[in-house]
Parts: sequence; structure tokens; C-alpha cells
Amino acid sequence: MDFRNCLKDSHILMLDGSMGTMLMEQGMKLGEHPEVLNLTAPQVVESVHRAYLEQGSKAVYTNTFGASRRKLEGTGYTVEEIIDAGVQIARRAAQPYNAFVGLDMGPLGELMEPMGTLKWEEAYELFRQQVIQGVKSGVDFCVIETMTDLYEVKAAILAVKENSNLPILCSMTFEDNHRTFTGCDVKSFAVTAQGLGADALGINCSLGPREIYPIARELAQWTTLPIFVKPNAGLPVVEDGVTRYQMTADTFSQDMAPFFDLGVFAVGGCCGTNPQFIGQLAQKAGGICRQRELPVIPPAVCTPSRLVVLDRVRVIGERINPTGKKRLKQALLEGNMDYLVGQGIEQTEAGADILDVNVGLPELDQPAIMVRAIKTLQGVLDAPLQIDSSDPQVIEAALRAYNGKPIVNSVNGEDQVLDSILPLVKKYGAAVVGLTLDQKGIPATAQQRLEIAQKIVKRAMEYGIPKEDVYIDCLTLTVSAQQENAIQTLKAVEMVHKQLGVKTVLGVSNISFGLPARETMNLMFLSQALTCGLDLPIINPNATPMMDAIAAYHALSGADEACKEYIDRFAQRQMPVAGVASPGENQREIGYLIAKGLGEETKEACKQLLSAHSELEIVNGYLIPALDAIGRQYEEGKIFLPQLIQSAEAAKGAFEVIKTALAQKPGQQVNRGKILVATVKGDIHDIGKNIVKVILENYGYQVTDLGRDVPAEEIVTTAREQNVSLVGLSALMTTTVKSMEQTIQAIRAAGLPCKIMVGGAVLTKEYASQIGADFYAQDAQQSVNIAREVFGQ
Amino acid sequence: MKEERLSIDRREVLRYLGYRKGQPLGGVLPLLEEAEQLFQQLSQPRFVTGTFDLQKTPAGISLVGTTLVLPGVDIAAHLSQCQRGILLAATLGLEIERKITQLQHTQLALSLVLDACATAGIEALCDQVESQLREERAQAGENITSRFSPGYGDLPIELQPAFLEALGAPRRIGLQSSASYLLSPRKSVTAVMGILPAGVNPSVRSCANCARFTNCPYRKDGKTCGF
Repeated sequence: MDFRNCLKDSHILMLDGSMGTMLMEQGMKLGEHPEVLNLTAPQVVESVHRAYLEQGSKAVYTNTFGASRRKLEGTGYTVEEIIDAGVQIARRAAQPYNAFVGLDMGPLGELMEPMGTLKWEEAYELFRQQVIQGVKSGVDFCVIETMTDLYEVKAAILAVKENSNLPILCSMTFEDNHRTFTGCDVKSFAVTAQGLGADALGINCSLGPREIYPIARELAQWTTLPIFVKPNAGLPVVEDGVTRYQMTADTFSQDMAPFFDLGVFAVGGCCGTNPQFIGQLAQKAGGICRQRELPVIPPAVCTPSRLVVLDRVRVIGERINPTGKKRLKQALLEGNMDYLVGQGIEQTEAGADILDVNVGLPELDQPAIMVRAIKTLQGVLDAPLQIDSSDPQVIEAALRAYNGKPIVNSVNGEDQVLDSILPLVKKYGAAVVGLTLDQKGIPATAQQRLEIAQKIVKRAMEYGIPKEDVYIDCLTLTVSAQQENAIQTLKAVEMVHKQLGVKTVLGVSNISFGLPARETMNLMFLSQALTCGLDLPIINPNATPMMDAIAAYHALSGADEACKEYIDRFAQRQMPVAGVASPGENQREIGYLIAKGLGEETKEACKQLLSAHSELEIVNGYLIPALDAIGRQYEEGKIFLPQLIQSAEAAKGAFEVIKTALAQKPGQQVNRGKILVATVKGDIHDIGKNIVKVILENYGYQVTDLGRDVPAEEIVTTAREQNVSLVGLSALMTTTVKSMEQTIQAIRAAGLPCKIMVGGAVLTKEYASQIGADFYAQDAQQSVNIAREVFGQ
Repeated sequence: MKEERLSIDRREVLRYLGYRKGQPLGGVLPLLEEAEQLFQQLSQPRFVTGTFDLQKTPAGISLVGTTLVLPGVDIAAHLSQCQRGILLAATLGLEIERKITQLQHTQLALSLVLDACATAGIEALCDQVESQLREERAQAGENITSRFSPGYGDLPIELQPAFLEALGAPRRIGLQSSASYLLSPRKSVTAVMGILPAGVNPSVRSCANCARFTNCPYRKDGKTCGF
């Protein structure tokens, strides 16, 4: 029989109980690799399987939970040997019972990027190796279990889908706050894993049946896939220093009863359960004919920790797009992801629900820069992203790198576009924007646009994309150029909304291009579009009147109950503070403001200075002297690091003003020298490095920040490409200073003419010279002295 | 195990930020207050402990029932009077770490202060657990040694994965070790404490058995923190 039939069968499938608990009872030590027993004591493993099968299990998981390459290192066995032996043992045991065998894959045991150092691509490769052997050895299905990181789940599901035809059971481990240790929400798990093509979703480990029940109920509301649970034998208690699980087989099976009413397709047990538990559970589950009323899943996009349901107007922030934005363009060309992140934070703080990400600069390696942008943004923000590109290669790279369910922006009515991009949208479980245009251009009438929309929706559904995941963009044209079009766009929005019943999206600001008082025009157009049924305006959320209009719309439409949000929004509003510095007093004033760390005031003062001074005059005559004075105070022990940084941040605001002004003047830049900074491979501590960066930037150096956990090769390549004269390396741990030494060796071996400075808690001057560095920066202020020495004053 | 609330000592936080006694706080006070509030909102203190018999072997001190063996002279001295030991793994979770990272892009100074709060917080959590354990042991007339962690003295940091597995820490509190033996979440501690038989007193706290021994800024200057 095909395992897939179990997914549809009305009987409840009995899974097994804990393997680890049973092996421990037989004397396995804590910390031992249970998988090694597949080769050293196969009869023990087989007896555990058999005990569960005797008690009624109809499907067993192989003893391969931790059989990934990294985890098995040092055991002397390969992944292939362990998995093959594990599958053969399970097969032998299962055959007399006509039971199924599932390849068990647990977490890889290392925290993944962005918080950890395991890269998504590495994780994929590790799972892939296991899947390939599982297929060879002949399993019936794949189990991905005990997961706490949605990104790891994605790597595992794709590894199975791309290397086998096996059905996938995927379960995560939640805490009683309905989140995993990494903060993944049960709804995001449901939406993302179903989109990626898992065959059944579940919850296992961590809690007992009672605690898991409400989480499983939530899961059942957010997926139409079959669901399953494998709880622990209650919560662990520590008695005399030893951890025990409290529940008996009897209480366990009683507490499992509510899951039958939930319509679960399979049940079993995790830590602390044994064959007795499974026996009693099998008896309870035996006669039950399962029924589950499938939920209607509302349209939604997500990141692991945040699900955005499109049940009201949701704002898509438009700012991460280099078109017409010189500062962003420059930042992308310099590889300065910080600026991008700043734009992202600013927009979400202004109320954007979703962020559009467009890195379309022809001079860049677009798939690579898109992946970097997505990973960096997701490392800092929890807002879902909209991948803005028409290039299938860029889109696929972005879809692989994204953690959660994103939006792809966009396809249009052209067959060739639909047939190259929709399969990607389906495979990665994304939502997609469809533009109502085709090879003939943008149709003049609303009716024609509706027809293209119909075609896009139909084609998407043929590819298996649910209708609610298609959002139609009826296209805004400039009213000053094509006046009759504005009405057609609004009409089209209304028709798509009413007749097609899908969500609509619209870039709003384009309407006013070339006109004065653009905000007024944008505001009016937005208001009309909302009335026509626009769900997803793409706007600049920093434009407060636009956001206010949306708040008003929510109050009028009833989405904002009792107008509460509307009232709160304006209750909190403060009148803007007038600028503080008056002309003539600027010199004293800006130095004072920087010393006090007053960011907004410093920016204002800088803007005022610009009316009478050139950018370079301000940098050299005001900002650097102010920073020098603060640096001296710091070195003398009169102020401390937090104050130094507060001042540096204030000065950074002034520098932003300068850079924005300079971006309007081609060829002009403040650049006293190029410096590359990075936290070395294996290390994830980067506050120190970030402090150094901010301070160096304030002195007018152009700093490329490669981030943390950066491989030596990447540092060498970038230093060479950007012709960098000074490299700053940071490492905090004794173990990662080794990696720092290797990086220095790689830079020297490449024959690069740059100087190297190092810093980090465990380093000393002697240690620094021992590993081959040119300079030791004891603190951030000293890095400035080093830079001055390298580049001259 | 979960701890609902941790109180952190402001003097400790300032010490991590490099302040000396009696220095004026200036503009840092509001930052400190904000960071303390964030700390309370975002830290998710969790820990696991396990008690094991200790056995001297040629390779080091073995924790019976686990694969963990603690090599080196320093741990041997630390546990010289103990027949049993307690392993501890504790963490503040990922939420606070995420906030520290996010703030680096928007408010670097606040990020630094929050990081110092978290450093003080994980120490406070360990102190809290240690004193609970000490109380428990006192009922049996016993006492416990101070905490000793992989990376102190000659106890290799490479023990982290085996240490964590012996406690089931990855599953139970979400604490993992990276390929270069960094704990993640970052604000986490693993440590071993010996159970001292009745009548034996633990050694006093000194630089040599301080958690900051390897990277203490005071010690670098040839001074002590005065703790």
C-alpha cells in the first residue's frame, strides 16, 4: 500500500513512541549518538521497533534522528552507513506487521543564520545527503521532526521535494506560548510548510498532550493538510537531580482523546513514552472514524514570527527600490546593507506591514545581491517581504533565501512570463502579484484589464496556486500624461475586487508624477482606490497623510472597531519640534549637540549649516573637531562607551544629511580612505565591530561592512575588488581568534597591499602581532588613530 | 525549567560598560532605564540541571551515565573533594538577542547597554540557580562549589556539544553550540558545580574562578573589579 493512502484514510494511523527513552532504559548514555547503535547493536534498535509494532504502531520512524554529517562527525561512521542500517532494521521489524517505515530527520544541532552560523545552503546539503540515502535504502515516507527553526524546516522540505517523491510528515516543537524556541509562530509554520508542499503537519516533543492540544487546535485552523501529534509523557520534573516524565500510559491515552475530535490523522508519543503508552493509545484510537471540517484559510503572508492576514488594508512600503533614489543606489553599489536595513526599519516604524524589495541595478550580480538583501533584512525585521523583480533567476534565488511566505512582484498576462514564474511561485509557496498588462502593453479600458486579470488567475490556479494567493495590480498611470486612464484604473480595481474576488494591489504615487502638490493628488487617488476595494497600496509609509487616510478608511469601513485605533493614533501625535540651532551659533551649537548625543537636533543644525558652508567645510570644520573632543574625553576616562556611541550616533545623523546633499552632486563624496570591517568566520559577536564602523564613518572614511561570520575568501575578494587599504577584523572568542589568524594569512597570501587592524575582547597587543596583524585597536577610538596613521591626516 | 523574573544589579551592568565606582552617569541613565525595561520584556530565562556521580579516569573526571569527561588539572582541582557534580545549562533565549541586533541598526548605544544588561542577566540567572541548589544541598548537610565552565583555565571549550547533550539542552531549552563552540543563543552559560560533603567549605570567589577571567578589562589593566 502507498503511504499516501493513510493521509486520506478514515482510520487514525498509529505512529510509534520514543526511541531515545527506550534506548536509555537499555543503558545508552546521555550524550551518546543513538544512531550509532544501528551498527553496533542493531538487535537492540530492532527490539524497540518491534515492541511498538506489537502494541499497534502502523508506521515507525527509523533510528536516524541525528544522522546528519555534522552530528556524526567523530563517530567513525558515515551518514550513508547509519541511515542504510537504520532503514534495514526498521524494515525487518515492520515487515511482519505490514507497517510503514519513515526516514526520521531531526534538527541539525546548530543554530542557523541570521542568529547562528549555519548557512541555509549548508543545511539544505546536509538534509539532502540524508534524503538521498533514505531513498536508496527504501523508506515509505520522510519525517522532519522536533524542529524549532522555520528556516531549517524549509531546507529540509526542499531537500526532500527536490531529491525524492516521498510524502513528508513535518512537525515542529512549540513552547506553551505557541512559539518555538526561535520564535516561530504556529500559524507561520502552517502557512509556510503547506506552501512548500509538506503532506502532513504536526507537533511533537516539548510538552504533554494537554499543553499541546490548544496549539494543535490553532494548527488545525491554519492548514488544510492532515495533522498529527506526538506529545511527550507530560512535563519533565527533576527529582534528586534526575529528570523524569510524570505521566502514565493511562493518563497519557486519556489526555490524547481530545485530539481525535480534532480530526488528527495520526498519533504517537515522544520523550518519555514507551510501548505501553502506544498500546493504550492504539486501543483508544482503534474504532474511531476520523472527521475533520477543513478550515478556510484567509489570504496571508508571513515571516516565522509574524503573519500578516489580508483581512484589512495592508500597506506595502515602496522605499527599497533604487529607481530615482541616489542614496540607495550608491549604498547598493557599495554593498552597504546597513542603509537598506535603515530604510526597512524606518518604513515598518511608520506602519508598513510588508516591504517591497527591489535591487534592480544592471551593474550588480542581481541574484546574489537580492539574496543578501533578503537575508540581511530578515535578520533584523519581522515584516514579510515582497520580492520585486521580473527576472526568474532573481526570483528563484530570492524565494529560496526567504524565510516564510513572501509575495512575488510580479507576473503579467504574457504566456511566457506566466509559464516561467508561476511554477516558482507554486514550488516555494508564495503569493504573487499579477500586472494587468501583456505583450500589447497596458490596455486602455477597465474591461480589458479585468480580462488579463482573469487570465492570470486562471493560469495560476492551473499551476496549483490558490486563488487567494494571487493579487492583481490594475496599474497606475500618470494622470498628467494620460488623464483618462486614472478613472479606468479605479474602475478596474473595482471590477477585479467585485467580479474576480481576489486581492488588489496598486502603486499609488505614480499618479502624481510631474505635477505640483503631489501629496494632495496621491491622497485623493488613494482614498478613491480604497473605496473601490484596494487591499494593498504600495506607498511611502513615511508620508503621514497617506497613513492617516488609511487609518480613517479603517474607521469608516468598520475594520477599526469603535474607531479605537484612529483615536489612539491621533492621541499620541506630538507637534513637530522646531529647529534649535539659530544661524551664527552653529559652531558651538553642533559640537554641543553632538557631545550631548542629541540626534534630531544635530541633524537640524547640520541642515542649517549647509546654507552657509560646503559639505566638506562642515565635516572638517565642525563634525571632526567635535568628535575629536569627545574622543579625547573618552580616552581620558571622563566619559564612557555608551556616551561615546551616543555622540557618534548623533554625528552619524549629521553625516547622513551631508551624504544626501552630496548624492545630488555627481562625483563628490566624503572619502578619506576605504576601510573594510568584518567579524571573522565562526564568530557572531559584532557590537564591537559596529561601534568601530560608526566611529570611522564619522571621520569620513568609507567603510564596507561585511557583517559577522565572514569567510576569509570573502574578505580577500572584497578587499581586492574594492581596493581597500585597511582591513579591520574582530573576534571575541579564543576559538575564533584562530579564524582571525587564518584570515590574516589569507590576506597576506593573496599579496594584498592592505594593512590589517584587529580587535576583540581576548586580544592583546602581543597576541595581535603574534597572529600577524599590523595594528591592535584596543577600543573604537583607537581605530581612528590607526586609520589616521594609514591614510594620513 | 523557566524563571519568571530576573533582577539584575545596575552596578554590574555599569561594570560591564566599563564604568568605575562613583562615575557620574550623565546622559546614560535614561538609556539604562530603557534597557532594563527591555531586558524584563524580552529575556526568556530557562535552565536545565542534572546531577551525576563523578569518577576519576585517566582522561579526566567522568560524569557517570553520560559521555562527558572533563579533562585538565583545573577542573580536577575544582572538584577534588566531590563525589557528585551538578551540570547546569542556562540561557536568556533568542528574543533579547534579536533586539540587541536590531538596535545596532537604530540605537547603537542602547544596544550596547542592553547587551550589558543581558550579560548581567545571565550571570544573575546562574547565581539564582546556584543558590537554589545550594539551599537544597544544605538540607542534606552538603554544600556546592562555585561554577566552573568550559573555557575556564584548561577546561576545553570544545566540550560544549557533549556538555549540552548530556543535559538534553538543545531540546529542553533551545541551547546549541556552533561549529566554533559558541553558545547560541549568545547569552547562555554552561557550568559544572561539585557537591561538597558535609563539613567541607567551597573556595572563595576570586579572579581565577570568575566567568570573566579570560576577557576582563580590569585584569588587562592589572586591576580588579573589586567584586
